[in-house]
Amino acid sequence: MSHIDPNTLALIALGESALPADLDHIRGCVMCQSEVDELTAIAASARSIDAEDRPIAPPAFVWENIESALNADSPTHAESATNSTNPTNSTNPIKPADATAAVTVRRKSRSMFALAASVGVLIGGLGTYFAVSTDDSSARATVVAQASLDPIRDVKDPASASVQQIDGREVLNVQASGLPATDGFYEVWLLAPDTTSMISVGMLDASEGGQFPLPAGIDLEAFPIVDISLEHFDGDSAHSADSILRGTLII
Amino acid sequence: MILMHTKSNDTYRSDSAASWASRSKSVKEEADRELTEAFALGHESAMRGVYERWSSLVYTIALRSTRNAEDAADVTQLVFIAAWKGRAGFDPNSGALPAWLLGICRRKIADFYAAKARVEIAASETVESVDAETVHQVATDSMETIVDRVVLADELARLGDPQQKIMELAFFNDLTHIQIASVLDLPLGTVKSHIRRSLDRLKTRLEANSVTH
Repeated sequence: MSHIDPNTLALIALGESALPADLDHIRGCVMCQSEVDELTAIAASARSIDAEDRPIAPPAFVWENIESALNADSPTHAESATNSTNPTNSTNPIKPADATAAVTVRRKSRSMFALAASVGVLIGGLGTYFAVSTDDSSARATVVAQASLDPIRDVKDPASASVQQIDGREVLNVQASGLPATDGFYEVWLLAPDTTSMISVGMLDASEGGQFPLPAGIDLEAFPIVDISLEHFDGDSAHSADSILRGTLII
Repeated sequence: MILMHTKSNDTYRSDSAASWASRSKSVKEEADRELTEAFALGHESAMRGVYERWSSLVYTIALRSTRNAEDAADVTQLVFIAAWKGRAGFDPNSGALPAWLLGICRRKIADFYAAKARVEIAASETVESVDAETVHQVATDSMETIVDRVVLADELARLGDPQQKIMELAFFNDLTHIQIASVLDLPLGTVKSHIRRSLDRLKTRLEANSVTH
C-alpha cells in the first residue's frame, strides 16, 4: 500500500476520523506514524494557546530607552548621549560592568499586585524621568531600586517597595495593603544579605504603606533586603524575628 | 529620533544572506528577510524595524514568564540592546533572526529566574527551604512551553486569511474540515491543503525557534 496522502495525515493529526485502512497503514508505517505524531504535537501545542499568548506590543518607553542606550553607546552621538543618558548614572550605585542596567530606570518588582499597579506608576514615573532629564535645575525623582515583597505569612496580597532618589536623597516607598490587623505594629527594615545585620527605617501604616527617608550614605547593596516585621509594644527595639513580608531590592 | 547610519549608502539586499530561512516567498517573509539582512549588515535604521517586527514576541514571552509588566519591559529592553551590541555574533546563514533574538530572550529570562531564586533562598530562613535546582528546572520547562505557545500564536496571526480562520476553527472550535469548508464556503480540497500547509508552516516556525545560538 502506498503512503497516506499528506493532507489526510494532517486531518488525522487534528483528530478527525479516518478510514480503518488508513489507520492500519499508519500503525505499520514508521514514516506516516512519525509524521502524524509530529503534527499532533503541533496541534496540541496550538490548542493550548490562550488569549495571553497572543503577542502584544511592549509599552512605548521600551523603545525610547533602547534608543537612548544605543545613542549613548554610539561614539558619533556623544552630544545626544549627554542629553539622553539616565541622569542618575553619576549617583546610582550601579556596577560599571552592568552597563545596560544604567538605562533601566525602573527596576524589578515581581508580583501580581505590582503587575496591576506598576503600569500606571511606571508611565507616570517615566514622564518624570524625561522631564527631569532635560531640566537639570529641577528636583530629580528617580527610582533607583525596586523590590517585590513576598508574603512570608498571613498576607494574601504581595506588596512592593522602591527606592526613589529625590533631590539627591533616597526615600524608601513601601506599597502594602491587606496587612492583617494587629495589636502591635509593623516595622520596616533593611537587612544585609545574611539577614544578621539590619537597619530599622521606620514604622509602617498597615493600611497605606509609607515613605521612609533613608539615612544619607546608606549602601543599598550592603542592605538590599526590605523586610516588614510584626512588632509588639514590648519595649524591645530589636527585630521580633516575625517577618511578614520580604523582598530583595534590585538596583 | 532616528539612529545614526554608519553605512547609510549600503544596499539593503545581500545575496550572501539570501539563503536565510524558508524558501517561501510570501511578502511577509520577504520583508523579514530584508530586515534580517539589513540588521546583519549593521544598519542602525534596521534596528527600529527589527524591534517593530519582533518586540511583541519578546515582550509577550517575557510577560508570560515573569508575570510582571515591568519585568517584561526590562527584559525586552535588555534583549534588544544585547542584540544590537552583539549583532556581530549573528549569522544570517545559520538561522533566523527571531530564533536568535529568542535565544537572547531565554537567557535574559533565565537571569531573571536566577535572581528570583536567590531572593527565595534568602527568604527561606523563615519559610520552607527552596531547592534552587528545582526552581530552575521548572522555570526552564515552563519557559519553553511559553515560547512555543507565543511563537505559535504569532505565526497563526501571520498566516493570513483564509488560513488563519481555517486553523482557528480547527484548533479552537474543533470543527472538521468539512464543517470548516461549509462555514467559510470554501472547496473541501482547498481547506484540506490549507490545513496541511499551515501545520507545516507552524512546525517550521517552531523548529526554527528551538534552535539556540
